[in-house]
Amino acid sequence: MVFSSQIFLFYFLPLVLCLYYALPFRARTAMIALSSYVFYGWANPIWAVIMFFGSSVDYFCGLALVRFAGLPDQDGLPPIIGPEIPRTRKMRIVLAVSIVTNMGLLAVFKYTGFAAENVNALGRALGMGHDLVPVLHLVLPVGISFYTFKAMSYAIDVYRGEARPMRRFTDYMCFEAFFPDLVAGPIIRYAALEQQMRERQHTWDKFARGVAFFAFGMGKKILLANPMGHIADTAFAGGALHVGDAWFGIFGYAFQIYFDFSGYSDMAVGLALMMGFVLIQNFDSPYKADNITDFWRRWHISLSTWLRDYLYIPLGGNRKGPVRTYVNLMAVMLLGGLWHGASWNFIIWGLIHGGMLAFERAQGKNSPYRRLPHPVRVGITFIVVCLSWVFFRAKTLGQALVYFKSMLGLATVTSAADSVAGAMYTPYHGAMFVLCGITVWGLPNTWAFTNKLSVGRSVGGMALLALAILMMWTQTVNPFLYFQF
Amino acid sequence: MNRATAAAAAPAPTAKPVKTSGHGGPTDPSHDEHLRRGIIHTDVSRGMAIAITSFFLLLIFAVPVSQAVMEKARGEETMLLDIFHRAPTRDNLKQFEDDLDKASYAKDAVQPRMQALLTRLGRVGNKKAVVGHGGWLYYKPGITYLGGPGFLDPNILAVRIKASLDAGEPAGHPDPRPAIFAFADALGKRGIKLILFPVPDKAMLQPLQLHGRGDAGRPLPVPHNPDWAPFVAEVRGRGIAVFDPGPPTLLPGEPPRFLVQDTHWTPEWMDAVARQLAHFVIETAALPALTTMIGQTSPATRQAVAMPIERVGDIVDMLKLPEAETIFAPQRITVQQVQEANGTPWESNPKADVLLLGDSFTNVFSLDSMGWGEAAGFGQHLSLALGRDLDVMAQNDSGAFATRQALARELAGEDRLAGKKVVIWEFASRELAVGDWKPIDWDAALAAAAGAH
Repeated sequence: MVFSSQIFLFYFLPLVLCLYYALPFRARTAMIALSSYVFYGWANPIWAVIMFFGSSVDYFCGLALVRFAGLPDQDGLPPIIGPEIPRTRKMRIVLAVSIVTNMGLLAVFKYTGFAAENVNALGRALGMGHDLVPVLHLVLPVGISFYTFKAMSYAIDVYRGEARPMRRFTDYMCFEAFFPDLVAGPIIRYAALEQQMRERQHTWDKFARGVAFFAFGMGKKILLANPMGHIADTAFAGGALHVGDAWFGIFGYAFQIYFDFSGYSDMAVGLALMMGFVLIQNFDSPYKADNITDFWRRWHISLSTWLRDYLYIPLGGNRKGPVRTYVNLMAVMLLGGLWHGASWNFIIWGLIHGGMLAFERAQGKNSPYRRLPHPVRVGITFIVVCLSWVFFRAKTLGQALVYFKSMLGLATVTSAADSVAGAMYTPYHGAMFVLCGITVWGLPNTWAFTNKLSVGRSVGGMALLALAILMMWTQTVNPFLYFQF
Repeated sequence: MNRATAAAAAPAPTAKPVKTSGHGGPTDPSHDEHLRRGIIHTDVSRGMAIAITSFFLLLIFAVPVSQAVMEKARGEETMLLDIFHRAPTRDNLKQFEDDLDKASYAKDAVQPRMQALLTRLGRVGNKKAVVGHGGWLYYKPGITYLGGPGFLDPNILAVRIKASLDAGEPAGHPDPRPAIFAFADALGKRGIKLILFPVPDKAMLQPLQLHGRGDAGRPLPVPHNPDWAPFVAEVRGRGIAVFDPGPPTLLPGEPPRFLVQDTHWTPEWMDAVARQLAHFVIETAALPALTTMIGQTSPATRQAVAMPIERVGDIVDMLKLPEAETIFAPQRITVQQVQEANGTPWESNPKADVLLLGDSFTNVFSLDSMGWGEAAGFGQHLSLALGRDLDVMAQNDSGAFATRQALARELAGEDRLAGKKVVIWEFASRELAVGDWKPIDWDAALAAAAGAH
């Protein structure tokens, strides 16, 4: 189900809110779990079964960890496994079971086809005339990358003693399947939600803030991301393009992916707030970043902090010398790229960002770049990010290279390219493009903007929501970009 | 490991603590406690918070409630109960959602008006329609074909297969060549010549009205997909005739070849193409003299009768504007209906020695439901130009497989290829890039035809 759809907005959400506030507190968690499964299974009921399998394994792993720690309950709650408790072999096996289950699900659905294709390509390169392994093509369950990462954080946080496990099965189901963040994040780590599962406040201002988040998120998606998607989709459906058209297309994509994803995150945060949950901030005006390191502090924060805490630091972080730090950065970003999708384009995208992070770290604080005026640095950073988006958006490596050639004016362009431009440029899309620029560089992010809900901001937010709903009906269902990852 | 220290020394996200304002920002350690306890600070008055909440609830409840009221008032059964009458399969749930969308009174009221506003003020189309300059409209898949990468590029073909699989659909057959070669071979076994006729796209022949670039006073080259020339060369190399009516250049002042708001050609250009194709057929295939044929009517007595028609094009229909909307005025054209001597409209003759397989380009002026007249289409005018009867099988859409499939099915019951010397296969050229070129088991079809014969 898509947030910006009639079925969600006018049927699912009102029903869920009614039930939620009509039920006693303990039953609410079970109701959220059940409705989350309906939400998820709506696109394909089989996917809900797959998620249920993974969740069940994680739930029992959490209980097993506590059992093997041999600790009694604390104040009627499952205990936190403190640092004084030695981690036994059995506990490590349980943790491994959880991680292997989640990574296994991800590997089966996301990476086996890619791996098989590359094995076969290698075989052909070595002169073998036939495929070495069969290429299975499994339909990727929506949001599997998000919920498996979320689930892994559960077992790891419990194992590390950063949170207490859940006793009630429905509580765990609610955490893992929580519909606001289920399919496209933010990737909520278990430790951040554990206490909220047991107790949370419901207030008018929390609900109103949730509505404001939802309104701005919906506005971003419908009014900005989708028109920019038209520009980007048209440009990337084309072959070789004129220089200006290619840049217009990639800028359009940069705006699309930002407003699409941050819009989704805002809506997720807003929906969670309506039910008393506080999620984390996932975007902090990323295109205002003045270097790539800064960009990753602001872009998809829940993923970058997940990778930091569960991958970069366990790999040694920056504690093993500069070379190892650079290798770790590259490795983490490469895996971050692969997390987005099983293709060489995502690997290259990750390597570009990993390379830039390593390069900036090597430059230190006194690099000449830092002496450039701030707007110039912001501009350069945006261009670098846009160049990397080419790999992210292009469907094949060949298409990415043709697109690069177009951006540099090196492509062989025929008059057919003009037809692409004809579909791209309209007064409406031009106006929305300018509005995107103003929003990105001239306005605060949603968290800061909704922190104070004055009369003007509230009226503006509600008008935006109403307009977005009206516009939603003119657009065919346009799933969020991150659903595919 | 000291996690606080490690976090401070970590990569990008931790190199500098994120400045926050206490409203539950990024997962900085200083905010963990607030986050765990679900605290968020919002500066909002109680009255405003209640007003915002009330507005939101009113908004999301208004649509289903008004829908229920409208359905009750009109004595209709609510769609919502359908969900309990169907098994919860992926297809059923999708169907339910689609039906709910279609039944929505709110959407019905809003969508056409918003679309009209956007189209009028911002030249906004939709997934199918592109709004050009001066009221010209274009069908987007045609632009995708023309401006897209080469349709024979192996990477592009692989991407199209993967896209089908990702959508949970069968892999599809994006490469047109195997289907074309197999069809030509099958026809060849019966001694029938195949003539391929991909109709150029509107964006190729009316480019200035689409993008507004270039000098209207100078000749313009006709743009093509990068793989058009290699495709034609390869197909001709296999002995298959390809008919391309597109001019090499577009000259200033030429009359339009396509209808302003429609995906299809003008009746004048269609007629001109029919005459060109008739010459091509006669040059390409040695057709027997007409007098030796059995069952032919007398083509010499046929006549074309002018009939004015007025309507907005099919791309306006795709925009789903309000019925009373006047952004696009109806286009008035004159079609030439082909009639027999007694005034009855021309009819296809299954016994004719030339078979035309066509899509909506064949149907546009002959299929009454398309709104541009009847018996005035491509088949009729080709028949007139050839001076002989014609057998026509035409289906709108899916020119890549629809008529081939229909022919193969028909062969099981009746040998539609009996007595044929030439098959002309007309389809929109965009099919080369977007069509599904499903394979047909021609051996089985021909064997069945032999049995039927």
